[in-house]
Amino acid sequence: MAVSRTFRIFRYDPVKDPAPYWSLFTVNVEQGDSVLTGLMKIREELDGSLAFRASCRSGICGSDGMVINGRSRLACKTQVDDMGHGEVVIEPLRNLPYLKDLVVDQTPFWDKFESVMPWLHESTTEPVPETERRMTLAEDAFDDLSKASDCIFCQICYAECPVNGLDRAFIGPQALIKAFRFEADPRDVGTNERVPILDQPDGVWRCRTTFNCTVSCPKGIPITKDIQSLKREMVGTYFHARQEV
Amino acid sequence: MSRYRSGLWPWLLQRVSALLLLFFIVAHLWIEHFMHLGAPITFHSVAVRLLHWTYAGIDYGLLVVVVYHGLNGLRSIILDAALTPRQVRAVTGGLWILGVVTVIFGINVLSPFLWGRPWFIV
Amino acid sequence: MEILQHFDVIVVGAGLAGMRAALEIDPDLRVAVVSKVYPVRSHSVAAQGGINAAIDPEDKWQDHAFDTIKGSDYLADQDAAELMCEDAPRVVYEMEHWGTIFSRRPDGRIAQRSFGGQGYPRACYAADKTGRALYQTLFEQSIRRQITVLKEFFVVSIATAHGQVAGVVCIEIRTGTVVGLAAKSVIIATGGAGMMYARTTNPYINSGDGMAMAYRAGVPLKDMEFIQFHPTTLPGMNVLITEGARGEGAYLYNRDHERFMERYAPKLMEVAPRDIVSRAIETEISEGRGFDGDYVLLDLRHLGENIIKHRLSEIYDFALTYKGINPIYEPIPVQPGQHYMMGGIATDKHGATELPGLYAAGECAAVSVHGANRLGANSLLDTLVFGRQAGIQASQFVRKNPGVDFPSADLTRQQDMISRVKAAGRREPYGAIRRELRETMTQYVGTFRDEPRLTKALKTVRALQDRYAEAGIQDQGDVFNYDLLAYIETGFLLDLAEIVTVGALARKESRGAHARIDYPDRDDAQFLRHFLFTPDGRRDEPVVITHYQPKERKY
Repeated sequence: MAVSRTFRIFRYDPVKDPAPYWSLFTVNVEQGDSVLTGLMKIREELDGSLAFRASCRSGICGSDGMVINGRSRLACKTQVDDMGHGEVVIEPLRNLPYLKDLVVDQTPFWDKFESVMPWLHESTTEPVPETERRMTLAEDAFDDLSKASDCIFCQICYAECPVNGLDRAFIGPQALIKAFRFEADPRDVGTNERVPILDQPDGVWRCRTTFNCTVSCPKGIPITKDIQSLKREMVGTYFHARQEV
Repeated sequence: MSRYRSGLWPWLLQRVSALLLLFFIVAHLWIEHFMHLGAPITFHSVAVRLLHWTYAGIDYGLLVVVVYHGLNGLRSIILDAALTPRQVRAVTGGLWILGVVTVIFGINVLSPFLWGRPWFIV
Repeated sequence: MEILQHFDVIVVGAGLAGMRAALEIDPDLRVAVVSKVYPVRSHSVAAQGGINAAIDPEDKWQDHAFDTIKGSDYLADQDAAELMCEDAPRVVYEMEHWGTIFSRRPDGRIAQRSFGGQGYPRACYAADKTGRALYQTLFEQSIRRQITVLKEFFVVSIATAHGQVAGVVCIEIRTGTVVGLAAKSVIIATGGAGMMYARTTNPYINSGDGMAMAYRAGVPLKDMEFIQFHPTTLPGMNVLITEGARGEGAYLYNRDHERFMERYAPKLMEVAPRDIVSRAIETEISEGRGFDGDYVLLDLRHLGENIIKHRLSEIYDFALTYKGINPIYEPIPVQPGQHYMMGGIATDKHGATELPGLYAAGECAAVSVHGANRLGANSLLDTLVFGRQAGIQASQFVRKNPGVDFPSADLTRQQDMISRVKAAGRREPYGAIRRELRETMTQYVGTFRDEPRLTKALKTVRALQDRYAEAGIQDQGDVFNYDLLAYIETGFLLDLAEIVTVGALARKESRGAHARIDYPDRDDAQFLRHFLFTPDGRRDEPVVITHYQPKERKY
């Protein structure tokens, strides 16, 4: 049964508007409809100028992170029914500059992601095997690695992290989880290149374990736990290096 | 590049000091409150206890660790404000001075029991 | 207003096929990948079940090729299918070396599971997120190799001059600027056009841009009438529930709690090819053995919590998120939904189209390895094999051909079009046209087809095209004008929907995913051939047959 709901949406067009404002839309939503379905209806039927990013509709592509009723979520994974009975209030993600309506500038996020050299550093000494490299991780270790690789780049952790909000230089939870994904991979030998990037005042040490990232991650990645693992690894690497000197 | 500035040591020592803190607090509470249950707490009984090096050592240790842990935690909160490297140095230096002064004053309070008179302030 | 940049090769689309092509192009050539979204938003990341490769010592690539050809209902070009299946083990090992986290067997080798229509468990997988695992690896490699990616650039047409490709015209979404990108070679890798259907697993961005652009540039589209309907999608949003669930052993039940697949494919049961399972479900529903709301049940409970949470973690999450159903304790409601297009830009087995310099790979291309029905876990393979082929061919083409001047009139024409639709305003919103198109296609050009319904669909689509010509947009701005994008995409979809319907009408037989109620049998004498569509009309091409003579297809 369709119910009529009011969406209060953050609006801003850099060309026309001196300042952001709110737009109110009333749409009919069916039971189980996501917030994204509502937004699409608004764009197709009520106001074509409403700008937001969206693609897969099922929480896999990471396009539609936005602040819904005060918290960063994926619009496609958030059901309107779960947003109480009042207005559904939608704003752009925090910690990234807004460009138009719900569209934010993602450049800082991607730059930080790329800074951790996020690719598998293959061994240069061992010969490349003809078939696959065997990987016999314990089940728990494999689960940790697999879970860390679930990141969909939705930027919600980045937007919810209070340290990112205060310190623009902080590398942010997503880049760290990516670094962890490679550090936890037994096939990777990039530790020596990656450590100097992570071992910085604005690197791994700035994380203050507020757990906002872990709580908000739509893929359920234990981000804080993995960042702590990285810190422990840094300490291990440090003492190991001193021993060798 | 100095490893010290990376943030590794403050992070590691915060954890080490937390563990020491746990030990010292439990020891302190045990000694001061449970070892002599029922006995009236008088200045004299405390003074006598602090004449003993083990007991005094625990309180000196507690003093140093509590100050380090507290001020190091404060530093990491202040650092959230995205300071310039210069400001970070100033904050770190300031907190070190504050910590050292606090410890000196603490020792001054505890020292009469070992020496029989205050360390430096009469 | 109109900037012109020069490249050697432009790759349109940053999914698996596009990225793989870009990685294969000589590093000393100037290459750019152009994508209308950030690369990781590409729909390749949504692929769940696996990637087929005969890597087990007991398995043979020739068997994989046979299964693929039989699955295609013998419409696949057999030389192309053989090329793909022989290359498959190399592809999987290459991805593993680059870092893909495949699920493993206890001895550390890559694990494999059963998949629809495969005679051997040969789908390598990463839980039920294989596409994401593979794509992240390619994306990471593209960063390592510093591949130029023009993000949020919407390509609207292919520029040609002197019978050769000259580049592409695109809109920079952030600024609204019409930009010409001159290139000696262009690779199209834009994926499918699922947005022409209401019930689809496809994302908003799959609007068939590349296919429509190629068609408008006079390049033939092949076998467009073959649309794959995935048997198991969640009713409502039609979120995909991987075939891997059935590969792991899940059952399908109708309302009478009967494993109805035994009546349709007694040997393979639930892991029969997708066309057969989809038709079985549709038949159950139409004969009254489905549930209210047009669905049947997919039962995973007997697989146990461990398999569900580890190997099917994504669909576990989907069922919980979208239906509030925990598949450990309750069966999941499923119905067929549009999933894949076997047809696409006609290419040879190396990705070359009829237009010199233009290549295509991935879902938007029809090589054809999938023929009338694609087998599950063959499309990830397709993207990586033929993406690479296209990259190799484009590099060679650029070395041999100096390229042609970019026709700057194309830019003006695009700018004029934008001005016109903005001026038209929303006399009729294209949104209504798009919605009617989706409903028409789902209702009349679905799993089962017949002449009256197809004729009706064709009439409706043509009427919608007329209305579209008069429609306009509301957003008059330049910055992030998604209104304009959706308008242009709707035009692409309308073109393609017409071709799909025309093809479905002309193919008076039932083959693979194309099931005509009025012509229930396969007719090899008349229709064992490809349909090629250009704006000038249809022409036919023979199917390449190497070792496998067409036989009746039974499972």
